[in-house]
Amino acid sequence: MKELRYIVDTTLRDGEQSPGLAFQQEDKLTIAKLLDEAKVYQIEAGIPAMGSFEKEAILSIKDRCQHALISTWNRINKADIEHSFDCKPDLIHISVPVSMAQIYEKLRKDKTWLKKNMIDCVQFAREKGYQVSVGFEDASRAELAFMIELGTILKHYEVLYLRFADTVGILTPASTEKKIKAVIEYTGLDIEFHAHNDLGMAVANSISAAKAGAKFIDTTIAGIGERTGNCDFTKFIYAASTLYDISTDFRAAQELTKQVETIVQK
Amino acid sequence: MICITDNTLACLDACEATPKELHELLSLLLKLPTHSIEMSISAYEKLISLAPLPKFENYLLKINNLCELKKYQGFAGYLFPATSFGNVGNTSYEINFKNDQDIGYNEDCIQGLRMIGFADRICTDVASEFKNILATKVKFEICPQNDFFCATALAIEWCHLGGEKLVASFSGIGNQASLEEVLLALHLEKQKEITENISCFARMKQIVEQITGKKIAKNKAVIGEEIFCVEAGIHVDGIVKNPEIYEPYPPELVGNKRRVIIGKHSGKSAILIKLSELQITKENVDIEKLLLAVKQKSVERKRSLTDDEFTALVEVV
Repeated sequence: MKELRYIVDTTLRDGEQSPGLAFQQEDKLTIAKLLDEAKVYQIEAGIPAMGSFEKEAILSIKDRCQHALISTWNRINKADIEHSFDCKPDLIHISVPVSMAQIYEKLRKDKTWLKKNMIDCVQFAREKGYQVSVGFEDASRAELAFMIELGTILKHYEVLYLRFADTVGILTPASTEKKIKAVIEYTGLDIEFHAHNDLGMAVANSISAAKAGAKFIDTTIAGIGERTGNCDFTKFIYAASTLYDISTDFRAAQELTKQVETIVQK
Repeated sequence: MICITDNTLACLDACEATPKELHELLSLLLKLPTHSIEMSISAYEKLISLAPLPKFENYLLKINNLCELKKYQGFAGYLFPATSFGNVGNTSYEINFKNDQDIGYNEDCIQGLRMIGFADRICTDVASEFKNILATKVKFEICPQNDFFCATALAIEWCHLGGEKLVASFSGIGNQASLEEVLLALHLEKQKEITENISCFARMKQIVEQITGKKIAKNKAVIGEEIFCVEAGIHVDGIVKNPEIYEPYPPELVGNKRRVIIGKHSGKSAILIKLSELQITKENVDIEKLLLAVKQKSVERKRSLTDDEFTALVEVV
């Protein structure tokens, strides 16, 4: 019997960040319903902090999807998370930049600030009764020891799983396997892997992460997303299904992609 | 030392390439850090119908019968399908014959063996398979296929394990590893640093599109025309502070440039950048109001805004 792996589809969040793409509320709902019907495990529905139009879209998705878990994406601040509360998602995802470049140059903060704010944000969502996942942004360029330190803290707060993001798409299958194995071994947390396709290796790296023990794999339909995009939903299912049991089968994925492409190209 | 054979010119026979297009493509391929350039007989004949091949030591010719080896003299090697080797585990073979010997299946005549396939191996223990191949006395060249979208990754794994010889083609034409992806990956991994100017990728992409009649995806890794466009507020903000935060390598390296796009996902940083780019004074502009108007207009149009549309919004707000 094949092992299970779960798709976290982020077409409606990271996918929509493809430059030039802007879904309307009904587009988002149509795509979410298709993903739900195709038995995708989790749908990352959007970023509530973007404004009322995004919140309304997420609320309608939450209301109309019957199977998939609906999650929202948040920066590491309470204001973002409050916007998420308004959408009543099944899961709140908090993105935590972990590389030196992200902490010191983008956020212009330090590790102590990051650690404190991460705990505050996770506690804030957990106290309201929400399940939480945390995403390590730019994890592929971060110090392993620092990620392990943060992961150990997160385990204490009963975070559901940890997203390991190859934000600039520089990993290879070998480096993916090594890093994912280490994070799982030292934190004991379930891992979600988030690939980018900058070197054309998003599908291969996602399979490599799954082989290393990552239970959740992030995808987008047609591989849309920032720069070169993310791991392609259909391609991943096609390539990985010889090895893993994935709730969505290849034919369903292909059909869904055809329908979504008409929306993206409209 | 990693030696890459580029076989783009062996993969274009199904298209109506002109001798001029092939010559320009070849001249650009010669600028890249590849060891050998392989071509089909059809491409070779078209090329020499216009002008002799530019001087280069390692041209290879793909042949389908051994008589052609005698007919087309002067190549550094001849790739010939080794059907007698069989097709084991979806892997087929090609023999690389030397040019100056009588033909025969012995060491004097054969300078290399190519293994073609491996498409589904990312789901298996590919590292052990590659290690076993590398442990043999024969210096195999591998040509990973892309049926499972993992050809570039397989080529990189081969190099990690000590493999030195591999085949790739520009844009992955012919269902193979993409040359540009392999080169960038090896460069970023510091396995084979690029010292040559590879900004010619942009022109090569145009020629390949012209020859094949097919547009290369705008988000294709390394050569897609929109891969350095940035719209999301969080990304624009990061890139302004330091492009390395959200770019794996500078766009100029591959003949591209960064562009800030204004749309549904824009943030304040992007609005300020666009105002300054369009030389609009920001003192009298309510940035928050403008940002909201940009988002609303973008959702309404289901796309990002043009500079003219943005300027019109500034005037209204």
